[in-house]
Amino acid sequence: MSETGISDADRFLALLKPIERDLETYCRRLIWEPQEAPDALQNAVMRAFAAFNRYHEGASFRAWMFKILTHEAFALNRKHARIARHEFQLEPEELARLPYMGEPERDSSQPLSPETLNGVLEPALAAGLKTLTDTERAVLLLRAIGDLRYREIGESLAIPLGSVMGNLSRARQKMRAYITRAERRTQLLKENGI
Amino acid sequence: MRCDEVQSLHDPYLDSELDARTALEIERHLKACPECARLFAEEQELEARLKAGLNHGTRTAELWEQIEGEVIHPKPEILPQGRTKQAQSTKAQMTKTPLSGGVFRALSHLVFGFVSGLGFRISDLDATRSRFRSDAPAWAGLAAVWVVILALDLTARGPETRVMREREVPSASEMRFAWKQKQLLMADLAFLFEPAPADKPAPPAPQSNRHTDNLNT
Repeated sequence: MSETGISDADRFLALLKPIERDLETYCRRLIWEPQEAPDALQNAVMRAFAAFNRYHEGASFRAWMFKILTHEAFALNRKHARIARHEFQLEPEELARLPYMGEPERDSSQPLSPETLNGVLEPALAAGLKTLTDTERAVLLLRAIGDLRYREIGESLAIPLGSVMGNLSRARQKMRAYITRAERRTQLLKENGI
Repeated sequence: MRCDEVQSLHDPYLDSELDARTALEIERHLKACPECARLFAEEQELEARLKAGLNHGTRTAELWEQIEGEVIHPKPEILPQGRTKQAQSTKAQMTKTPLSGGVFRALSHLVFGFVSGLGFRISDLDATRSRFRSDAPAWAGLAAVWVVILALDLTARGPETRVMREREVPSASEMRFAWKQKQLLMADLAFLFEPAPADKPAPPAPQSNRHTDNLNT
């Protein structure tokens, strides 16, 4: 209990609440088995609360929490020993030669709505994430969802700054290629009245 | 700065990770180079769409209510493989074994050797045997040592082991083990206290080799 009478649990939850949605989105994108995301989140939060006495005011609670969640997700991914479908590095032009995957079947008589366009993008993102290595995916998501600085990403993953920039660049190139192909295909379908 | 240098820094520039001096140089280059400016604009738009797509998610209210509830009222710590600390400690205690037969026997020999060595010489077996037969306190002392050993073994099992505490009667295997240990100890005692073997009769004289004798004649 602090001097102001607020319990550690209350202080912890006050810091946790604003980032809960981001933590859950990050976890669901990072973990291989979607059904294990709740377990990863729960374990990460409990570990963070158990170590809350080591967190000092002024430090980034967001970065600290994302770091703990990353380690928890990595542990679960390692448990399943999943390897990215394309663990070797793919260049964007090689990606273009791959058959497109993940586009859902749709009723061709209906025009594409904005919601449907977003729905087309989501499978492309999911498919693209699966082609990234664990480190590339974590770096990309920590930047895009966690909004962490490069230095914070490096501390979370225990990799140097140069590796952060290299992994981020490769991940973005692969993901942008997937998005561009998905949107181009959607545009072609729309133009042809499909 | 050259175009290739500027384009290689588009990620950290768009992420605002560059130092002020380098960022200023890139801005000046973009104002002067339409091609680089166009590439930077395309990258920025793609990155915005990628970020928006990756951030598309919701907060599951039921999940966070459960997690927050556990923070306020924590349950026993969940260890890997779904076991709790209490379950793990119980399991560890359940696998706790009593003194092994070898340790038990070694202790028995140690105690017996200590008692036997108290003023008893192995060469003086007759005196030792007669002294033990007539020395009731010595037997009582030995029995007391036995009781102490058994008591130590029973207390080593611990009251926290719920499974062992629930068993009022020792199992058949435990009874057989204890009986065997007792037999071994009694055999050791009997070996020292058994009566001295009687004088052995003189070996029979070797018989004449009639066959040989017949051949030599």
